[in-house]
Amino acid sequence: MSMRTIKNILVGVVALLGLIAGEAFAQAQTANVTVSAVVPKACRFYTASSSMTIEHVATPGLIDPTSLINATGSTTLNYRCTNTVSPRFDIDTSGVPASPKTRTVALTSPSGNMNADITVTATGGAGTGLGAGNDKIATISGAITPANFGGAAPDTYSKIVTIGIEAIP
Amino acid sequence: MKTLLNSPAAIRMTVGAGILAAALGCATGTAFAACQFRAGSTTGSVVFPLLDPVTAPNVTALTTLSVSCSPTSQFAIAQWTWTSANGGTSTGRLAGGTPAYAPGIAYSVGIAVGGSGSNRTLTLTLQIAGPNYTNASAGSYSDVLTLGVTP
Repeated sequence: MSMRTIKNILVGVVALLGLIAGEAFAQAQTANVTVSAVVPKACRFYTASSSMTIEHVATPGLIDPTSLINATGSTTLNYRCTNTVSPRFDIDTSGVPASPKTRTVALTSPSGNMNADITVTATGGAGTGLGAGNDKIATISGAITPANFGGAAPDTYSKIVTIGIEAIP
Repeated sequence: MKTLLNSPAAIRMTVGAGILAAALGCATGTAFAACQFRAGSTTGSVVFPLLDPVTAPNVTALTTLSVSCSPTSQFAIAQWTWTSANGGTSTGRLAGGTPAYAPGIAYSVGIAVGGSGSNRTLTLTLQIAGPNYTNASAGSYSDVLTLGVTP
């Protein structure tokens, strides 16, 4: 066996021992584990439903067809949002949420329809969390203009309006 | 010069130095630390599922690390410890959010070692209680857990 062959074998053995030593060094008595999580933006209503009567103040429960001012009404719904996140709303799934959000809807009756403007406003502002005790108020207001109620037939007009809520991205 | 490198004396010196280095490495790895995190398990990561603040269930995540003790009897007395970079040694705490959520998100830490032989599996179980994040601000949170073992 030549001197060069012996040298190559020995160098190989030394390299192997080095790898074993490296394995031993690679072990450790401490380990670092990175922990991560994500909290998404979210908003939800915490009031299932509410009712609103659109009327003239001077004639509670009724619209005065001779009046020259809007008939109005309002109600509230409670919402909560992720801390510091603001909500936006949709009405009857228009597909264009906004805050505030206004949409004209048709109130119906056996005698015909009457348009009303519905507006949802985040009166309570940004959320403070979705846990109990963080309710914020959304104000739903309705208005019917004299042009819309002036020619309406006497009847009871109504509509179920679906209000949607989501977090502003 | 070429002749010198191929001389038996030069070879002996090279081999001697290599064996010494290897021996020192083995001594460091086994004589001073009975239990260790094995190569490839000195780092890890745990990603919690999305923390939905609406339903806010308790959320659990885990990871495993490979550990060894020599002799194996050392597993019986091994003390596995952890320290949270944001929370200390009694409570893990995730920091983050936009804007920063001052309290952070607290989580519990559990360590269990299972298996047999000199190489076993350490399971790290982390849990966040729903109330700990239901009011957190949105965004990403993180922490670094440093695990340790004695002897």
